[in-house]
Amino acid sequence: MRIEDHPILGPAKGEATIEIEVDGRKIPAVPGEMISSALIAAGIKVFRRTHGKGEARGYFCGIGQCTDCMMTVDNMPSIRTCITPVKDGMKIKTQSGHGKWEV
Amino acid sequence: MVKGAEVVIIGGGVIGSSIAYYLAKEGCRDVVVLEREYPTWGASGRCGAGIRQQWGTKMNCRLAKGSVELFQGLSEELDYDIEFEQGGYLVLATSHAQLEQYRRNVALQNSLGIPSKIVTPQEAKEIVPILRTDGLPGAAYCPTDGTANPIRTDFAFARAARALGAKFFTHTEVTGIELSGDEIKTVETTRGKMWGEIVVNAAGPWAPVIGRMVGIDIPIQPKRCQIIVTQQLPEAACTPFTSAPWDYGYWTQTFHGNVLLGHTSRPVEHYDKGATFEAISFQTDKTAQFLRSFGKVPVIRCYSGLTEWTPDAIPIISFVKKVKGFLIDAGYSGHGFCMGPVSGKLVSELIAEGTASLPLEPFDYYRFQQ
Amino acid sequence: MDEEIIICRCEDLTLRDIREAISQGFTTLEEIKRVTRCGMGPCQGRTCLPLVAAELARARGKGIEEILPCTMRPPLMPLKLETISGAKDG
Repeated sequence: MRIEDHPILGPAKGEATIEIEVDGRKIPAVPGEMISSALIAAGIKVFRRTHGKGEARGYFCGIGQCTDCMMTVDNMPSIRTCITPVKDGMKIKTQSGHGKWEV
Repeated sequence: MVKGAEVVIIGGGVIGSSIAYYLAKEGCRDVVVLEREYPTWGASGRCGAGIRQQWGTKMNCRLAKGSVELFQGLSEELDYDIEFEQGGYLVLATSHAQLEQYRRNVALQNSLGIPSKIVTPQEAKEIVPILRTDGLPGAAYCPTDGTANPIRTDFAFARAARALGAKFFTHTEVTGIELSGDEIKTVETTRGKMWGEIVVNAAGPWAPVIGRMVGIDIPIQPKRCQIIVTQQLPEAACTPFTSAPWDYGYWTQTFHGNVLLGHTSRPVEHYDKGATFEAISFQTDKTAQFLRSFGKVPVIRCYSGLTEWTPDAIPIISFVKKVKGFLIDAGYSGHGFCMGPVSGKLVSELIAEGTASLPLEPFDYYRFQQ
Repeated sequence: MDEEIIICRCEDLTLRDIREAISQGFTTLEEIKRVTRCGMGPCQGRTCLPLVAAELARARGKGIEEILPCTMRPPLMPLKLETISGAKDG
């Protein structure tokens, strides 16, 4: 679900011409948009599970402040997806706790 | 506010709180702790939390070994998880002269039953996989050293002491001490006056301020230490505790996953606990020098605190003859948290029984006058 | 108010956890932060600490302006180590 025509920002720019991979599943993405936008457009709401109680977290503030939206992106854990632009072929994983990091 | 107590402890950090606990445990429950803000406001809430037995003098080694033995059972004893982990502690040598010093230290430590050893650069890398070992002559390592949570430890001692009858007055600053001859008549605080048969100066870097109130000069200087805190990283990203003492840096991953990049400085003349870009920048460069792959790790906080340093980096644990009942327990020179439990136990023995289970002569206040 | 409301999203702390800390006698944000870890997660209290301040003000019968905030420390937002090194070199 994407906003195709915003009352203030106008029509959406760009087509979903690239692909990112989320937990092995390829989803379309618009060049320049944030990872979280592509995820929400694909119907993905749960981005990670907390290290304490395993509670679901996802898009919350949308401005890079709350850190709820963190996922593992191209092997780097805890990346704020709401302020990180997509790149063609990016590999994203739903993160459990602090994730894994192959140094 | 109470009128008086058998023992008044000035300072609610891990030193003061542990004395209160061990005294109360021994049956001496008429104990009052006066804490200017709250336990962990001072060094106990701002430290790197390393616990090591790898020291260069017999007494420091014996103290630290005693402390580790206490740390091992502390969570259960205090019924509060202090997150003690015996994950080991690596001390890097960046010159051959340092490595030779470490060899001598290890021989001393081994003779006292501490299982430390010298390791090659390759072995150091096996212990801490992200370590850069180019140019490193070697390191010292002790597998029974480790870390704990200093905030939880201070709170645990305070809580357990209170449960046994000790009283803690937080947000209560000591503003003066009135003497009558060589005896303490009253301890003046922002919440009223009180009296103590024994007054313990466990005020850390502020120990000299308390000392001046009774007319004695305590040779302790503050030293600002700053810590960079990274985002929580996956388990074992940066363990065990690694220190490069001659380069003023150390790195440790806490129980909760944050990696602390620590930095100590030269002694200062002030009590400023501000974070400085100079220290942050220095420690960032040191981290790049010693650890691989940390460039992309985000920093979420940089805090700072003050440790207290004596001229010989050995604490002062002694009564002061000039003022009856005045006992100093301060000057831990960067290892107050590590020595906290054993300090509390020894001082409680000194107060309750007149003698401690380890000889305290090396920590005498008067050694500086010789 | 439902005490299961999440207050600290980073450390999974609920209103019940905060009220319990307050009932143990902690009267400042700094103490509550230290004893519960509320505000120590990656958001560094940006989401939760104002909520805790409000709860503390309610419990102590004070205006929220009387509740001292925690010490502000750099960086304001997460900053990569390589960014800090880069900044020094201009």
